Amino acid sequence: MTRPSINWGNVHARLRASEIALQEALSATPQRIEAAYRERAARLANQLRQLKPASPGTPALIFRLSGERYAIQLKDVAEVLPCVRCMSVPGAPAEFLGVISVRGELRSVLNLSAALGVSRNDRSGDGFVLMVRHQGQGIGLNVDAIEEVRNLQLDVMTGFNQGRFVKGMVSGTLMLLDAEKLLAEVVSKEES
Amino acid sequence: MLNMKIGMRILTGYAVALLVVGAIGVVAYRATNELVSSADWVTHTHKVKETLADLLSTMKDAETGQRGFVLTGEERYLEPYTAAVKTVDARIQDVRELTLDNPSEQSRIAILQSAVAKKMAELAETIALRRQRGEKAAVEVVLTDKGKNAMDEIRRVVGAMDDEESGLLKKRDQEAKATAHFATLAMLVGGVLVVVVVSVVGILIQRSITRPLGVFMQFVARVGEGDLRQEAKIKTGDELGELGRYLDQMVAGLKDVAGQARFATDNLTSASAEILASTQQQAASTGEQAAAVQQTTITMEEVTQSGAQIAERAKQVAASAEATSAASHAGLQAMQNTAKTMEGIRDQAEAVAENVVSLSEKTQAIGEIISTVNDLAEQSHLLALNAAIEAAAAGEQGRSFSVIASEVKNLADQSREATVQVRSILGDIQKGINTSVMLTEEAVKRVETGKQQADVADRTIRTMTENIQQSVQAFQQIVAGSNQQQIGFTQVMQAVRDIGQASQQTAASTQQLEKAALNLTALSQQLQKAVERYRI
Repeated sequence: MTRPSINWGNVHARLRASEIALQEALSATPQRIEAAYRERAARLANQLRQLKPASPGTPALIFRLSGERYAIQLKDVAEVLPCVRCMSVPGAPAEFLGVISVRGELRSVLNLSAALGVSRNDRSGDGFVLMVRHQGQGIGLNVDAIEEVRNLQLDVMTGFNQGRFVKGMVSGTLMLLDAEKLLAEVVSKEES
Repeated sequence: MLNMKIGMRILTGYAVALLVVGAIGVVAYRATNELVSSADWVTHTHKVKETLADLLSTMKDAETGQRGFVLTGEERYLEPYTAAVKTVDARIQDVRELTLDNPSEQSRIAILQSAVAKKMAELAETIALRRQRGEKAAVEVVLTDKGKNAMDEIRRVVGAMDDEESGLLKKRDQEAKATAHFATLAMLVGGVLVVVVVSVVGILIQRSITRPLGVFMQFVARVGEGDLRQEAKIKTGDELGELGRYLDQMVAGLKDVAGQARFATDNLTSASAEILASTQQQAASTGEQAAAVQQTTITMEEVTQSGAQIAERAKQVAASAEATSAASHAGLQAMQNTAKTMEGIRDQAEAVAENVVSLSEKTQAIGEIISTVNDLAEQSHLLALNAAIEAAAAGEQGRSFSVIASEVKNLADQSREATVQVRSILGDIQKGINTSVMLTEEAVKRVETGKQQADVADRTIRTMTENIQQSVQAFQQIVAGSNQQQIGFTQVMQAVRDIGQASQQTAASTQQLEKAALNLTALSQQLQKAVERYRI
């Protein structure tokens, strides 16, 4: 358990050095700011160059639910909201999670995992709500996480007819959600 | 007589002999008395005759003096006359006294006296006439013959008396001879009688004594030969009978004594054999004892040497214990300093813990700021997503807007990553702080433990100091004790040497004892032989 005795001179030197480094890191010198701008401009330019030849696929939002990655066409999505407070409605079916207030308007939120028939382990409530356009108004779908917006090649979609609300698998294991069918069925069921 | 006591017997014998001797003595005495009286009378007669002769002589002296004076007229011739005048009466008186027993002589003395008176008167007359008238007148008177007649009368009477005395002398001499003869005879007869009587009595007494004595001698001789089974067989009532009874008692006692002596001698023989055996054992054990004493002496010398070494070691140990005591005082001081230093270390470590905890609180503030930043980044991200969605909804017109949205999203992502890094770093810092606090706590605990151990060491050193001082005292006592022990060892060695000398003396005396026991054994065997002589 005996450790070599510490060299206090080294310690003091290191402490001074880290103090100076912190001072330098915290001080916004014009050189640093300019360097940051240059770097950002270069990166933007690079991104635009990459964006141009990007495939002209269908833009889709990729999200995560119960450990699985799903995709939904961006044209179906109206908005993404943090799932702040979701008030449950008594007497509602299991697929119906509750209502939330979006800029003063109440919108229904569906329990997507229940609707898809997959168990959702993490019911912490933290997550996001995808507002999906449906018949002129938005209906929320609660998901675990939002990943990104990407262009998908829908024509290379592999056939997947097992699930009722999944159109198929795209770019590997990404399941493309059939929002219209889901909403139509769930809402009609709700209304019935 | 045989039943009389021996003393009485002897006395009786002596009495008989004395009676005989006494009778002879009486006879002899009487004879001797007679002899003596006869001799006296002879002497008396001779004296009478001498006195008569003297008287006649005196008268002749007177006549001689008268005649001388008459013839000479010289007074000096008168000297025999004056002497005769003075003694003549005494002479006559002597004759009268000597012949008082004889009346005839007495009568003659009267005649004699008158004749003497006549003569003396004639003499006186002539002497006076010679003086007064001279020689002639005197001679005339003489011639008258009256003086001569008187003188003749005197001569006749004296002659008659002398003849009388001579006759008496003869008669008395014959009587004395007869008496002497009788006495001689009586003595001769008495002596023979005494011899005979004494011999008879002596033989009787001798026989009455020597015969039993012979029996007793044989008896005693047999007893002397060791025969104790007999009796004296003399049953008389005298001393010899008593002697016989006493001899019987003596033999019975001797028999008893001989039996006891035989028993005792047997015991003595076995006892002397045991004594001899035990003496030999003692000699052997004395040898062992001498060897043991030798070993003890060697061992004691070794013990003494080791005791001296122990004393030396104890001195050394005492010195080192004193040195240790001084060192433990120094150690005690050092331990107190150590305890103080430990307390200082603890205080500083606690200050370090306080500082580190306040750093942790600062880190918490940083964490809150970072979570705010992260929230902002999340919102920016979401905002960028919505902008992208809006841009997608706008179609071709929103294409450049979607690029900006994407850029905003990138910034948001970078911010989020930065916050993630900061979180990670903050976590590291927090971990480091926790570790530091734990380490500091551990250090404080260790310091505490160290202080406790220092206290324990302090107490231990104090106890050790006391113990060492006690040890010093104990070692000093050990040194003193070992010195006394050395003295004691010296005394013990002296005692062991004394024991050795004593055991040597014991060995010598045991040899003597062994000799004595051998002698005793021989003596007891001799005694046994001697006692076996007695036949009980």
